[in-house]
Amino acid sequence: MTVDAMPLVIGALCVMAIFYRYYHGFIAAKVAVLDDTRKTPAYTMYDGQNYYPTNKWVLFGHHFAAITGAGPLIGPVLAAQFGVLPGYLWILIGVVLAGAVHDFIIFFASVRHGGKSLAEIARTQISPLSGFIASIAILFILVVALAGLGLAVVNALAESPWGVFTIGCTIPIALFMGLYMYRFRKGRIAEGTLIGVILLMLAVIFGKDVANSSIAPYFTLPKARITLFILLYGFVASILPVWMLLCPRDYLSAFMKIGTIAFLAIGIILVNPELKMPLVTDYIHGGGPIIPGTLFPFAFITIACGAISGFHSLVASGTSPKMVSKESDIKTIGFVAMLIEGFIGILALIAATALHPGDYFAINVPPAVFEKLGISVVNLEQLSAEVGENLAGRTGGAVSLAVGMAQVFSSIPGMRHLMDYWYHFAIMFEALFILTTIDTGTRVARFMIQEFGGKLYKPFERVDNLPSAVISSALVSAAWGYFVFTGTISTIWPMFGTANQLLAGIALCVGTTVIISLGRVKYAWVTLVPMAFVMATTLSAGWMNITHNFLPLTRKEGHALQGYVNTLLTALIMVCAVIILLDSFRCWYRMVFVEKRGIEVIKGEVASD
Amino acid sequence: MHPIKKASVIIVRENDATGGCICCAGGMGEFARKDPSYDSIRKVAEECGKLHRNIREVFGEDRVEIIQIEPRAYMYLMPKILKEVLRFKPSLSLVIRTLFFLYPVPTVIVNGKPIGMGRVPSVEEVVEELKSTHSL
Repeated sequence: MTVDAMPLVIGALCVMAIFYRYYHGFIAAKVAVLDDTRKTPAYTMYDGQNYYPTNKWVLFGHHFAAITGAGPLIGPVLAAQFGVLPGYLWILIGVVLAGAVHDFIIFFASVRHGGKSLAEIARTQISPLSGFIASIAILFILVVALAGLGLAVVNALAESPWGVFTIGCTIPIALFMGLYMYRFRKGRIAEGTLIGVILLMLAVIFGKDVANSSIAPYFTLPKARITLFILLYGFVASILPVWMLLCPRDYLSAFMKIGTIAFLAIGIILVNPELKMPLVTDYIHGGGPIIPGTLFPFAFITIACGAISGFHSLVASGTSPKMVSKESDIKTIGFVAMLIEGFIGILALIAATALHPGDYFAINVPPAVFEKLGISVVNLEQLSAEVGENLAGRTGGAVSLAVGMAQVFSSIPGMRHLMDYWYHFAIMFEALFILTTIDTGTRVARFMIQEFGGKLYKPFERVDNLPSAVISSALVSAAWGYFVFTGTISTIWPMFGTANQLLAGIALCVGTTVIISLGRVKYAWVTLVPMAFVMATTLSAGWMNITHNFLPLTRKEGHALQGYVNTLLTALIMVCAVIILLDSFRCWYRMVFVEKRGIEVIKGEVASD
Repeated sequence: MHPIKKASVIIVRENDATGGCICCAGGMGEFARKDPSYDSIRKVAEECGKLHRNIREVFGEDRVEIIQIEPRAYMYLMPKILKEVLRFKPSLSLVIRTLFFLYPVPTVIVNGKPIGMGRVPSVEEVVEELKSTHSL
C-alpha cells in the first residue's frame, strides 16, 4: 500500500497546531507559569550588547536558524529503511511530546537562571559534578556528530567531479566574500552575500562542463582523499580568523537553508508525490542494511534532530534567553521553532520515500550488500542518467535526499530537463551547511579542549596561543577524522543519534529538576516521561551498539582498534548520562522528600537568580 | 484618540555569539567571547550596546522602539523597513538604499532613514534625527 504526500503533510500540520494550542498551552500556563510581569534577563541584566529585549519575530528567526542543521534532513532519510510510517509517527509524536517540550523547558529554565548555559544550570540545579559531566558529554557528542555529518559529505562527493568542483568552489568563494565584506568593502554584507550566491550558482552550473571536460579527472576523487581534504579543511578553518571563512560561509548557509527548505515545502505541496516506500518494511524486526537493528530503539535514534535534539538545549540556553523580551514569547519561540524543525524532517522523509524502495536501497547500501537483499531497482539507471552520476552505493543519506529533492523540484512544470542541476544544487546545499557545521564544531571542540587543558597547564587555555590552538584543533580533527576514515554510516550514524539523544535526555533531566525546584512536582511528568523514553531508547541503543556491532567488530581482523574505540566512546557517553541521571535522582529525592517542595513556592522565591 | 506611534531605531550589526552553524556544532555562543578574531565584531557590538543604553536613557522605554538585528535577518527587515519608509517618507534615494540594503554594516536606521552607515553614530546624531522626524 502506498500513500500520497499531501495527507501526511496536512495531517502533520493539524497535529502540530492542535498540540501547540492545547498541550503546549497547558505547559506554558500550568507547568512553567509564564509570567509577563517578571523581568527577563534582557531587562535585569540589560547591557544593550548581549542582553537586550528583542522583538519576538526577530528572535524567532534567529532561534530557528540556529536550531536547524543537517540532522533533520539526513536522519529521516536513513530511517526510511523501516518504512514511511515509523519515521513519520516518531517525528510527529516525538516533536510534539518531547522535542518541542525539551526546547521550551530549557529556554524557560535559562531565562529563569539569568540566561545561563545548560552546563551552568546543571551545575547550580543538580550539582557541580553534573555540570562537569555535561561539558565532557558535549565534547564527545560534538566529535561523533562531526564524524556522522562528515561521512555523509564524503560519500556524496566521492567519484563525483561535478560535486567536488562545486563544493570545492565554496571555499575560494567564501574566502573572497570574507575579504570583500571585511577588507575591500568593509561592512557591505548584502553585496558580498549577493556576489557569493551568484558565484555559487555559477559553480553549480559550470560544474557540469567541468565534469565533461579534460580536467574532470582532477576532480574525480576517491573517498579516502576526500576525507583527507575535509579533515584538513576542518583543521585549517578552525584556526583561521572567523572573518575569513566562518562568517561568510555562515551568510551563504543561512540564505541557502531558508530558500531551499521553503522551495522544497512548496515543491512537495505542488507536486504531491506518491510515496513508493511501503508504510512498514520487514526491517522493523532487524537486519536492515542501512541501520542495523530493530525498530526499537534504532528508528528513534536514527531520526535524531527531527523529533528531539540535545543540541537545541545549547541554543535554548545560549543567546536566545538573553534577548527574549517577555516570558510569553518563550512559548512561540521555543515550541514553534521546534515544530517547524519536525516539519522539515517530514519533508525530508517524503522526499526520500518518494523513491522506489529498490532505488532507495540501491543508493543507500553498498552494491555488494544490495545484491544480497533480493530487491530490484526500478528507475536507478534512468535517475543516474538524469543526474549525471552513478548513484549506486552512495551511502550516507545525502545522495538519496538530493535525488528525492531533485525529483520533486524537476516535477514542477517546466523543470523536468533540469534534474541534473537540481541534484547538484541539492548536494551543494547539503554540503555547504555540513561544512559550516564542521568548521564551527571543530572550533568549538577546540575551545573546549583548550579549556580542559588549561586546568592542567594554564597557558594552554589561551585561545590566541597558536601552538595550543594547533594542538587542540589537530586533536579534534584527528578524532572525528578517525571515525570517518574507519567507519561506515551504519556504525557512525547510530553513535551520533545515541549521543545527540542522550544530550537531550540530560537536558530533560535538568528541565525536570527545574520544574521540581519550582514546587510543581505534580507536573514533572511533562519532562519526566520524554526523558524516561529518550534515556531508555538511547541507553538500550548504546548497549545494543556495543554488544551487537562494536564488540563483534573487535574480533574482525583489521577492525579490532575501530571496535574498541567505538565501544569506549559509546560507553563513555552512556556513563556520563547515567551519572547525571543518578545525580538528578538524588537531587529530586532531596527536593521532594527532604525539602518537601511539593507545593508551589511563592513567586519570588523561585530559584531564578 | 489614536495612541502616539513610537519612533523607530533599527541597529543593524553583526553578532559574535550567533556565528556558525549551531545545531550539531554547538555554535560559537559563549566561546565567541574568547576568540580574538571576533574582536572587531565585538567592538562594534559594544558601541551599539552603548548607543542602545544612551537612547534608552534619553527617551525611556515607551517613546522609541529600538531593534538590534543581524544583517542576515532580511526576511524581517524588508517588510519592517517598507512599513517605516511608508510611514516616515524619507527621500527616494534613501528609500532605495534602505530597502535594498545598499549600506555597509553597522548602520542605524532612524525612522526609515539610515544614518552613520559603516560606523556607529553618536547618540546626539540619533537624538537629532529622532527629534527632527518624530517631534520627540
